[in-house]
Amino acid sequence: MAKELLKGNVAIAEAAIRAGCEAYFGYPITPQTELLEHMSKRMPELGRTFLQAESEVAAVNMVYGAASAGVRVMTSSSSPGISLMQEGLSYIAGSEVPAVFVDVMRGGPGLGNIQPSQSDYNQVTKTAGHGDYHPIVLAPSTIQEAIDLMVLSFDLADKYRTIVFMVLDGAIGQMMEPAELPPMRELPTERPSWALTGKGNRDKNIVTSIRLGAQPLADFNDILQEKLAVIEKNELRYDELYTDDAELVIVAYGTAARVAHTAVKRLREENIPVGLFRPISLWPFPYQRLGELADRVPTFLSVEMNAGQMIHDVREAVGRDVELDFFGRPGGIIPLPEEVEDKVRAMWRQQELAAQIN
Amino acid sequence: MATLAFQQSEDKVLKPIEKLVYERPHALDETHTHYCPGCTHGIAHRLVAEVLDELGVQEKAILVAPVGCSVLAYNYFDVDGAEAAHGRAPAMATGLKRVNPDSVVFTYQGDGDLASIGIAEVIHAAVRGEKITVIFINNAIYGMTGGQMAPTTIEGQVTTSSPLGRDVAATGFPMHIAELLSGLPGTVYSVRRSLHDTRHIIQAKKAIKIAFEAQLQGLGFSIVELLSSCPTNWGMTPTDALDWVRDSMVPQYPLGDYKVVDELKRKRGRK
Amino acid sequence: MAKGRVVIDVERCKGCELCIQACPQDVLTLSDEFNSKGYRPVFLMEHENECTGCALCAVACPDACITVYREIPQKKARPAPSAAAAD
Repeated sequence: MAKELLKGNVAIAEAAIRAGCEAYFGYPITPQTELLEHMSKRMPELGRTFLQAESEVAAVNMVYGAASAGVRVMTSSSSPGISLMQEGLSYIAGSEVPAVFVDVMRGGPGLGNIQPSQSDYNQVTKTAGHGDYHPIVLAPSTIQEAIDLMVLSFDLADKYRTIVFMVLDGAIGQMMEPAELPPMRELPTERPSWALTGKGNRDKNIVTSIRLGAQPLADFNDILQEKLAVIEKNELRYDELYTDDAELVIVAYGTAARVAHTAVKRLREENIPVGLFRPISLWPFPYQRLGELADRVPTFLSVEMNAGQMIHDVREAVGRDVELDFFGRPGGIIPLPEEVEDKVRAMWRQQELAAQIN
Repeated sequence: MATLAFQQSEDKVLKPIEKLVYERPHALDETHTHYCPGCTHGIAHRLVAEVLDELGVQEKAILVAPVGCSVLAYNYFDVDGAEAAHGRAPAMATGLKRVNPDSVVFTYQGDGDLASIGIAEVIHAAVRGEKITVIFINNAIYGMTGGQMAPTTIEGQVTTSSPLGRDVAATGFPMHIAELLSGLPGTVYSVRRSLHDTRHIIQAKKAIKIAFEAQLQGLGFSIVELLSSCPTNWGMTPTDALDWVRDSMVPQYPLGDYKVVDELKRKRGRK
Repeated sequence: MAKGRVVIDVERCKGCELCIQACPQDVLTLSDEFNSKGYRPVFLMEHENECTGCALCAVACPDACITVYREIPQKKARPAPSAAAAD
């Protein structure tokens, strides 16, 4: 298939359809509404389920229902809507049914604004609801990557019977880029053995997140943690630029990584040995690879479109023996490459000065 | 369904001497319920199971259980079952039914679950004419948490969170769900019945059957509100509790058909 | 009057007495014995007011633990394979 000029939200919706999404439930919220609108047109055309729910609370529980029936199901929302979905997310995690979420993040807290932001890092990576679990969280930085990760999201959700989040910001959701959509997949003809379809001739199936005894719940948590450990081992994704010889590494994802990418390219022209480490999986977070870099690289900079959320994971990865600084713009402001460059130049001058003194 | 017991008579002809007139419905699981003695949840479960048997839909039924005393209801029915978040059963049922359009999806919800925290979900399920059946247990109290005021607690009723009796000026008035949902075009069947004696239990079962028939015919949203007892939290014997349903709840919550669409009336007329 | 009998699943019975209240013949009562859950299950008394097999006890039972049988009057119990075929 040839490349075409695609708007982020629309490309993601179409990629989900082609990945075999059979049901979509959602609620309008800027800046992801085009995704819902595309679904409202295409899903009925294909004889699949589209429903605009009365709230995000209802939407996530409709997703829970359809996921319990063993179909590929998704919703999309933006930060305040994801806050409302926390309850359902926890139940879905506790029931181990697969479901896919797209969060086109905007500025917070509260109603905040509708500008591009990375304000949900903590709320999606650190459990997304009560209880001990993590969804898989994938963060694309281009529309092509969003398309590819959307397809991967459904595959990972099914593989691990888990929640997969794709998080992006309004910039990627709203921009247009040339990208190639995947081929349309055939829908499966059978449901998984655990799905709720009516018992027919088999024993009844139950989808539940309640385990009343202390030991049964402890046992379930053990099983869940074992599964998460497997995901942490198998599903790490990241990208690197100039990290081989970098003496200062920027850590950034999504749109912040695009900005950092431009800054790194320009700074390299000034012979500043800077590199870029871009986590693609925010959970599992690539702690180990960043830690390896920290064995050699003395200085790191976390660039985020918030007041500093991922930086805590970066700190955990690089340890206390290296410098770690932060540059971020909360409130829905995308940092300019020039701002990142200024920050890096200042850090690099300090680093050189320190080297001379030592 | 009746089976016959036989004895061999002298002329070697088998003669039935006894017939089975009532047995435990097949759609109930063998699991013993955790409900308190005399709790009418068990009666409502049994009636639903009898209806599933009679309609022959046990194999395609999916139950969505609520949060409340009936949180483990899926253990007591031999059908596929899910456990929803508090109040969200109609939303979860919507998801299940939309992708399983040939199945028979029903929620079983108490008054706290449906009328308080889940009122938006049940109203919008009805607004959409969602082809699900809702069994609504109104016992005027929060049972599982130990007897707090519910949206259906009647005026003056003492609960652990209205110790002086429900003061409607401060806490609002009892909610009339069957009437409320009957006002929505997507609702095809909305009735209130009571479980306080055998005559009313038999009437309740007929209503439950019509509610499921409404779903099977693809007509829209159906709900049966069942006035029920909570002997433990009311502090009464099971039999006194049923008298309280009759004497205190029925006057507050009149029994009756609040909405029955013509398609269901015609079907009943043919019988 | 038709004669019947009821079979109680004593382990399932919680002794709530709703069946006793529902019984028009007053032939049900609580046992002096306890079941394994500590409840006194109901049982069918043998006395002059016989069970008619009306099943109202089962209609009232919250634990679905009552099975009801009713005798078929012998004159109506004529086996007739041809009649059955006519159905």
